[in-house]
Order: sequence, then structure tokens, then C-alpha cells
Amino acid sequence: MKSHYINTVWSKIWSRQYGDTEWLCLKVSFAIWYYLQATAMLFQYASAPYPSGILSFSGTYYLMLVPVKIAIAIILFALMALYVLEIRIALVTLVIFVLSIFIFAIGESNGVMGRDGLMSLTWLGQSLAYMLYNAGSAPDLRRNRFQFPLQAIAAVYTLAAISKLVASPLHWVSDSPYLTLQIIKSFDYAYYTSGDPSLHAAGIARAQFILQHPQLTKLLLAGSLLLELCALVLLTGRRPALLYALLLLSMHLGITYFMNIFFPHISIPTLLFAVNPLYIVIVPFLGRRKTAATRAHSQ
Amino acid sequence: MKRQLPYLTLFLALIPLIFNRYHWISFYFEGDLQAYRSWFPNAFLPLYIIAKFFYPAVAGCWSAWLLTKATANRRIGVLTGVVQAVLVFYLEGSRDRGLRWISYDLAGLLLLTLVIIRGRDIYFMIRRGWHWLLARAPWLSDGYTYFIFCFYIILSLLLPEVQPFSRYPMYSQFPDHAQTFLIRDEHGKMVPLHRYFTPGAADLSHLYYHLMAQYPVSSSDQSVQASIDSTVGRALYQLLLANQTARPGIDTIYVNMQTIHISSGQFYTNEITLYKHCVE
Repeated sequence: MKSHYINTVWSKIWSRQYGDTEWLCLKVSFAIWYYLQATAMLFQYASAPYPSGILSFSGTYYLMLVPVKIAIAIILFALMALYVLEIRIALVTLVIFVLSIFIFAIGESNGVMGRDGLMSLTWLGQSLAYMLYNAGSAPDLRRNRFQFPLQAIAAVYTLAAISKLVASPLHWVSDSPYLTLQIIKSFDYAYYTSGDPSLHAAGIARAQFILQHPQLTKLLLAGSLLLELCALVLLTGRRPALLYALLLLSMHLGITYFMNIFFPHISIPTLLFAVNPLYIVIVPFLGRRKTAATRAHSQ
Repeated sequence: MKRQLPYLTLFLALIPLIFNRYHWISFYFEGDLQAYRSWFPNAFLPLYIIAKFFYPAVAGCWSAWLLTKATANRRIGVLTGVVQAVLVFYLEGSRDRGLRWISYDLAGLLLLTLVIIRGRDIYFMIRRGWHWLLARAPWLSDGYTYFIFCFYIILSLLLPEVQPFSRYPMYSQFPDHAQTFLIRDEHGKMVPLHRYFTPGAADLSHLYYHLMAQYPVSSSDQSVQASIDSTVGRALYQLLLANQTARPGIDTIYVNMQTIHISSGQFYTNEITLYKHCVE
């Protein structure tokens, strides 16, 4: 029975198809995480001194007033609830997409380019999946509501690779000694922000490691560039997406360790849509319940 | 003569490459409109057009016509002319001389390939390749699998950096210096930003580069550069002021910028004050 239980759990995790429970787990985890990020961005800045994007249109000044922001936060909460409950989900996700563009334009309007387009695009992807399903054009809804946002995620990584190839073709790999300056800079940002001197020392130590291991560094840089360039693999199926996302996340972990920078608005959507950790945590309990039900039936 | 035609075409396409070896000729091919205005004040426009556009257009048309005759395939001729024109016009505009050499080489290689392989064969090769790919990746036959991927990449490359479009250029190059931002008090001691303000050093850096993008490349005139630094420094301070969490317990705030270099495995820093404010 134990091996049957393990096989059941593994077959669900390693399945080629997306399921409804998996979708529910994604909705819950994504809704919670997105709401926390969106409200943090909404209330982080008091003004928009350099209006950008949607905020550059006249009349949008009122959107920065505190009562309006509170109203937006309440509306967003309600939309998250409708999203999880899957009520008018095509329209709800479209509205969230529009709101998201405004919310994350606040950071850009303060001169902070957060590169968080993915926070909005994932909603557009889900909305399109439902709209095309309702229109009868794309009947495989179970796949598309995962796969459409994954397309946006893959596009982000590919764009990052294209930017590197355009800005500094193969120099990006051979310029690895100058990477040490970026490492020190990142750790110094944290040091000058928090005042913790151990951060400055950590930056110097990691920079020295890079200088002492140039070949290893070039190999890692080339590998990460290749990973970003081949992000199209995320679109080829559930299993390849799961494995490739783990590679991308390990790349992010490496970046966090060496450079003390983390791109939550890119790596967390990748984690949620391709790996779906809440589902992986819950699946063993689903398997146990099903196995117990099977045992009771056979008795 | 018919057999020699393709090679003659190739020679024509490579003429600029040959000319480039002789500086006194390539000088006129490489000058921009301003240079032509200073060399030929009375006839700069027609001479510029001849040097920049006439030759590639004539060479392109002539080589396309020759290839059409040689291969008896009009499609090859049209394709050759279009691709060569695009290559030469697009890369001709680049300020990078090396890129221009590459454009001529690419044009020549393309012609050589087309001379060797007939258009019909190329079409069948592409079709066979596509079927081979489809057999191994059947998902490619479903456009819904990658339409958002394609549209977002194309739009992000065409549109400016505005939510939700971006080219994600983070760390796309590693310059030979790096800049950090900090505040010091009147005694020169570093004051942690989060002690009194919400924005961190990274936020100041983002705003600094956003503002500096409005100015031309750093001015060699020190007084002009100092004025730019002061203006940007004041903007950084105003960002801090707009997001102040506690009254600073210091008399003077210095908004400083530290530049880090590397030389022979050693790191060097240079710090300047962008803006100074006396706290009332």
C-alpha cells in the first residue's frame, strides 16, 4: 500500500496534464502573494513625481490620493476573492490586469524601474485563456490557464537574453571580472541602506571568489545566458516546464547568493506557475485520503 | 558568360569591402551628413545620396538581375535584392565600422549561398526542416502555444520602457565602474538610509540613472558636470524627503555618490557629494 501511495503522489506531481486541484492551489497562492505585492507597491510611494505609463495621462493624479488607494486595495481584495472562487473569472482577471498596470506604474513614476510587467501579464494570460475558451477557439482550458502566463514568463527571460546579446554580445561572458564591481555594488546598497557592515565584507568576499575562479565564473555566466535564451522550453509541456523552472530558480538562487539581489516579480511567478509548491505540498495528503478511501471500499 | 555571371555578382557585392581597404576612398563612404556638409558645402546632399544610397541600390539591383538570369528563378533575384538592400541600408547606418564590414560580408555570403543552391531547393529544405521540427515538437503546430510569447517579445522590442513592456536590460553589460549612493552626516559618518527614510540605496540608484538619461554623455566641462550632479542630487534628496519616516537626528545631510573601479585585482573607490542639505 505504501508503494501504491507513493506512486499515486508521484504520478500527480509528474503528470503531463494540469488538474483542477492544481489550479485551485495556484489561484490561492498567486492571489495571496500578488495582493501583498500590489498593496505594498500601492502604499510605498506618496506621490508620482515622474509620471510614467498610465500615470502620465492627465487626471490620474487623483489615483495617488490615500482614500482612492484604500478603495483600490479593497476592490482588489474583492477581485481576488472572485478570482479564487472563479466567478466571472475572464472579466475579473482582465480588470485586475488593468489595475495592475496602474499599481506597478507607481514605482516607475518614482524613477524605480521595477521590471514588473510580469505582474500584469500573468493576469492577461489567464484572462485570454478563459476568453478564448468561452469563444470556443481554445478548448483546452486546463492547459491554457497555466500555459498562457508561462508564455509571458518565457518571453521575459528571452527578452533578458536578447538584451544581453545586443548590449554586449559575447563580452557578457568574458567581462566576468567586471561582474565583481556589480557584486560589491549590490552588497554596498544593502550596507548603506541598513548600516550592517557585515554586508560590505560579504560583498568583498564574494567578489574575491569570482576573481579567483575566472573559468568557473565564465561557465556559470554562459550557462545562465543559455538558460534564458532557451526559455521557450517552458512552453513545451508541464513536465519540461517544471524541470526548466527548477533550473531557472537555481539560477536566481545563485544570483541572490553572489549578488544579493532577488527579482521576486519574475522568480515567484515562475515558481508558482511552473512548479506550484502549494500543490506539491498538498498532493501527499490527497493521495493519503484517496488511498484510505480505496482501502475502505475494498473492505 | 552565363556561368561567370554569379561570380561577377559576388564581386560587385564585395566592392565596398575592397574599397574599405583604401582609406582615401572609404573616407567618403563613411562620412555622415555633417561631414559631407563641411567637405562639399554647395553639393553635399546629392553627393551624400550617391555615396550612401546610390551605390548599394545599384549594386543590389544589378546583382539581383544577374542572379535572376543565372539561375532562371525570379524569386531568387527579388529575395537577393531585398535582403542585400536591407543588410546594407540597415547596417550602413551603424556608426560601428566593423558592423559595416560585416554587412558586406553577409551580403556576399548570402549571394554565394544562393548561387550554389537554387531557390526551389531552399524552399524544400525549409519545408523539410519545419516538418522535422514538428515531428519532434508537435506543440509548434498550435499557434496558441506561443502567440503571447511572440507578441510580447515583439512589442517589448518596439515600444519604450513603459509598464508592462520592458526589454529587461538588468545587468546586460558589466561596465568598468559601478556607482553606489549613501548619505553622510556633518562628521563624514555614514548614516543608514532606512534609519530616517523609506527608499534605499537601490532606489536612489534607479532614480539617478533615470534622471541622468535626460542629459548627454557626461560633460567634460567640470562646472557643467557639477551643475548636473547638483540638480540630480537635489532630486535624490527630495525623493528621500518625500518618504521620510523620522526626523533626522543630524545637522547636515550629504547625499554622496561612490564610484568603484577595479585595477590589477584591487578595488578602488572615489566619492563625491552630489547635494548637501542643512537640516532645520
